[in-house]
Amino acid sequence: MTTTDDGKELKELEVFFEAALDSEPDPSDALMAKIMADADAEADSWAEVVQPDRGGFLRSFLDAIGGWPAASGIVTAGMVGVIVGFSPPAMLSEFTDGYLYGTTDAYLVDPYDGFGFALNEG
Amino acid sequence: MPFDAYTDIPDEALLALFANGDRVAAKVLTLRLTPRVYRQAFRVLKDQAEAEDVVQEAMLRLWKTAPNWRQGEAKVTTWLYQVVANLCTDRLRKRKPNEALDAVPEPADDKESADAGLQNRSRAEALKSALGELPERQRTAVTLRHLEEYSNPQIADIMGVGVEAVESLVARGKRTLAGLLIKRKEELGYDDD
Repeated sequence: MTTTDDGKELKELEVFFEAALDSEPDPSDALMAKIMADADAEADSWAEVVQPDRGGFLRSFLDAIGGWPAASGIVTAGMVGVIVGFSPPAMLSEFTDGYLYGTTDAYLVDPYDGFGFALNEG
Repeated sequence: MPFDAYTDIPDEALLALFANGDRVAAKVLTLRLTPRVYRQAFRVLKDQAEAEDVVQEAMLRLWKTAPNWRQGEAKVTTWLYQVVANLCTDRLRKRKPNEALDAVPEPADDKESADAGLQNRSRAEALKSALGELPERQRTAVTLRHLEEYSNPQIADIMGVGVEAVESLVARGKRTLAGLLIKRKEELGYDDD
């Protein structure tokens, strides 16, 4: 068999490939539509995951103050305040008792009365 | 981006676009990939409804895997070919043992006249018969190249061989096919074309 014969026969072979392709059905429009609808549904499901529900007032409040880390700081500070109120340190008790129960006198002193101020300023 | 601008974009890049929410990319991939894998499934299953089910399932798996697709590690065509092949194998296993593939009727072809359709059908059957006589790797290479219309590099990926090996397998397979079919030249009437 020569190369020319080879070329002719291989060309004739194309008729068989074309016949085989023609005898097979194409995918239906309905199938194509279903596949595209599946793609849309899948993309929709990702969109729902990417943009979660914002969660109403609590979420807005947390966003405004800086999220959960800021909220935990505020709560901790509040709890410390309550503890100090119920059980203050001894040093603090002595100082505040003086004011609250009259064991310490407090005076208002004006180091610059009218004349002193005028003298100092010239 | 206009639809035409997508035509030169590789499959993997289109999948990445789809994973980023570009639905036109999914449409382009559907139009590009579905006919080929549908032919692959139909050739194995010989049943339009089953082939459609398999292709829809395979494409759904492609959409689901899009966000996790590792660029550069696999070709979409190779991946999809393997998924369809596996799904077809599963379907064949589930069929009743006495349900021979050849017993499934061929689909009616209403696109051509009855004579032309008959001639095409006889040529297609002759090709199918001749393909059956080829060594398996030659048959696979010729089928992928000329009936499923993959490129040689894509076939090389699918078969796990080099492009030169694919070219050699296709060339040898076609020579053998020509030799087998030339004997039936007059019977099949391909001098008419």
